[in-house]
Amino acid sequence: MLADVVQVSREGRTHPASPLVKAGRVVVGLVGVAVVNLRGAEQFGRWLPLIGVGLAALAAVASYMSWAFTTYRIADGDVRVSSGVLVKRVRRVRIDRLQAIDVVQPLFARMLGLAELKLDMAGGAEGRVAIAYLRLADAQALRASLLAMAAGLDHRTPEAPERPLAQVKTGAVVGGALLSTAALLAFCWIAVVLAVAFASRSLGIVGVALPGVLGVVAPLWQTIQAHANFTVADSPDGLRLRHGLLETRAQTVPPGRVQAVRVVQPLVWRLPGWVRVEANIAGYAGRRADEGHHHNSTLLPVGSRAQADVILARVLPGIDISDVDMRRVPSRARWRSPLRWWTFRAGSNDQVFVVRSGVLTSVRAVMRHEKIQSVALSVGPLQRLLRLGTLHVHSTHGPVDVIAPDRDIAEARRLLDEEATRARQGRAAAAPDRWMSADPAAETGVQFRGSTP
Amino acid sequence: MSEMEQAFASPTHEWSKVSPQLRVMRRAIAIGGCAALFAVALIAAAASGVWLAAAVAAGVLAAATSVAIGVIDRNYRSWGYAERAEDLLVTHGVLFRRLVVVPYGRMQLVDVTAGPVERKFGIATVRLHTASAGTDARIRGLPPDEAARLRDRLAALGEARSAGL
Repeated sequence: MLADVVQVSREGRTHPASPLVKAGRVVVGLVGVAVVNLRGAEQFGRWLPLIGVGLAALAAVASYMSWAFTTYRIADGDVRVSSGVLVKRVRRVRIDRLQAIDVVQPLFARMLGLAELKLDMAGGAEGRVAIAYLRLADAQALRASLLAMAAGLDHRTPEAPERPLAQVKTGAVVGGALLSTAALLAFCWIAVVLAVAFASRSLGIVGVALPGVLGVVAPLWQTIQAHANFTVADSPDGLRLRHGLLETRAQTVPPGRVQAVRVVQPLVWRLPGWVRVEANIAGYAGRRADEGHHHNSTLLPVGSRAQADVILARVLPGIDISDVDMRRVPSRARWRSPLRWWTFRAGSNDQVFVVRSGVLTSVRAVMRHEKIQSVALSVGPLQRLLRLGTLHVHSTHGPVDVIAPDRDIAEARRLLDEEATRARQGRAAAAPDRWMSADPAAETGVQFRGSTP
Repeated sequence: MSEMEQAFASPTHEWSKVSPQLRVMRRAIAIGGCAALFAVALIAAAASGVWLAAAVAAGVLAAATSVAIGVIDRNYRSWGYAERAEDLLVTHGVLFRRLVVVPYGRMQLVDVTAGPVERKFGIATVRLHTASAGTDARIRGLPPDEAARLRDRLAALGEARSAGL
């Protein structure tokens, strides 16, 4: 292991098979289309093999070029990935601003022993750099090295040891997905379709309803696929999450990168006592378009309250939220939120702000004062009549919203001022970005320490 | 002072107000829009010969203009901002009131924009961005030199107090 780490190079290329892996899906799709359309292609006659070979050669040259022009370099505290044949593009990530590092293995890459390294900075898609693909061992060694540098240690520091925190059985993930609201809707939909098909004694309706069925089953499958074999481990360089059935993902979230967390309990999960833990992590922001970002933001897909508490204790070190005085809203709030007003709770202590709400799905969100971006008080027309106000505590983009609705207006303003003050005090006392270096002078720049210590 | 006024009161002595040019610009837009509609009504009336319709349109448009001017006036008066040692407070809105507190240390970007109409009336908008999309703090209707001063001051304070995420 140590030997691997020492060999981490500061410059490199991705694995030569990368274009093949990237093109994998497209190639499979094209071959499929070609086979289906073979009959129609017969008119090309004997030119067909020639066209096929020509296209393949063209694709091979293009992918070789794109691979040959892609390099990564680690220098001056940056990771730079440059790519592009005609238009050169250089993407740059500051190592001390890394919010998370993922090693992702899509199914095809996994079969070839390759992995993609994803580096996330704050700022969503713009602040994200991927190095695809590397040999798995190389990707892991590079990750360890980057994490060591991000922590303010030498880049040769071997990978930190880890301590398992929680393991989720795949059965529980499947059970959790099947007991969700979406799954229940899917089952109702399928039952209706089957009933209609049975009553009309024809299978025509099944064909019509199939896309709808797929539409509800696909997200379920996505959740199960992404969360299968979920393990959470703790290490000095951060929280390590590993999960995935076909596409596996190993996420490392360095200490202090979790902006806010929430514990969610859908209605049906109350019976087995399950909960889900999700977090806002700055680097994972704005990912809705690709790969469903909520899967990345999940710290525990399904587990007991005790497991959730272990993870909360890890992401909110030294913070006891059990002593937070959770206060209800005045009963006149029922005129604005007739169904939910009695579930609204908010409270804070010296370190965190906590909100709670939800009739069917109960949600508890926790945010450290020092992570607050801004705070706002809003009052709508109905709230003005009822002398109520809503307090918004802004976090970076993610599944967790920290909102305390319908507080008494005087209390809401008091909370606003209180949170602004506490956020300021929290920022002043916050731990350094580089969590291992106690030396504040090291905050100004990252250097490679080239000589052997 | 009512409870609601207290909740939106400035933490300093007074809110800094925005330029009256904001009100002038919006009034001009409202009056201009109504005048244009009235012109259309006049042309239609001349073409069809139904002058009663033109009179009704004039009445309706006059009423709409006076309502719009009232709304514009209240909206103008609702804008306010306050610079404190560590954060900036911005408030605005009549029907939906909002007060946002943005710490200087959290500002990632401050931008100043002025459209062609705004430039004509000599005002600009300052917008503050943090790492959260929810912040949405902007101050409309600032005189250009005040906007520039605010931008420079915010940028300097943001630099000095910048905190890691």
